[in-house]
Amino acid sequence: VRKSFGGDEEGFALSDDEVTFLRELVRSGTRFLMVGMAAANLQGADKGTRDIDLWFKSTSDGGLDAAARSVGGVFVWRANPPTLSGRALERVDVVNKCHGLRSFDEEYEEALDVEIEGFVVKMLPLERIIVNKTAADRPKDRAALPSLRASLLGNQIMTKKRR
Amino acid sequence: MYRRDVANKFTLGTDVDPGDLEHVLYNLTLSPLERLARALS
Repeated sequence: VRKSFGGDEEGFALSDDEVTFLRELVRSGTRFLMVGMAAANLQGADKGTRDIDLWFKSTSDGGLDAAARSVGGVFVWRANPPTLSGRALERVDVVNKCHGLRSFDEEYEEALDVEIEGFVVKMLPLERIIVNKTAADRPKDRAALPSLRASLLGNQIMTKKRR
Repeated sequence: MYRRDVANKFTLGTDVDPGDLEHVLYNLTLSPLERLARALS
């Protein structure tokens, strides 16, 4: 499934540095998925978030640090957990574990293709975000579930309407 | 049909709150980046 969006008329959801970081990851062939509430919000969820969560196939991929350095940051892979550092990347989190999900490769296979500013980012579909949040089962995950279920229903309604 | 009416109709017999669905239906009229801007603001 491919969804396309981008363009000047669409506001300033991502900073220039965040766009550059994502573009560099894609350009270098670093395999990652956008997960969590930012991915859900892109699919219509109405629940605020502070973070853009990214799940990487491997955090030892050199492309991750190279992309961070392209915006003046760094990927501190020796930290526990490994983390991005730098003012431009304050909202970007490296997710090390996605509860309830299959292997990275299996989820990647069924991810949505999302076009941002002319390049494609892979994103976890709503159904899989619900599985993840249900399994994680922290208070904030439980709090997100009603909005996620409403988003799923809303997308189903809109899909039927387009047919 | 108004979004509120649609939300009330489609949430009957489900555990989805019509108010939540109404917000989602509004968000789906926005571009995806506008949705993200709302969420991250």
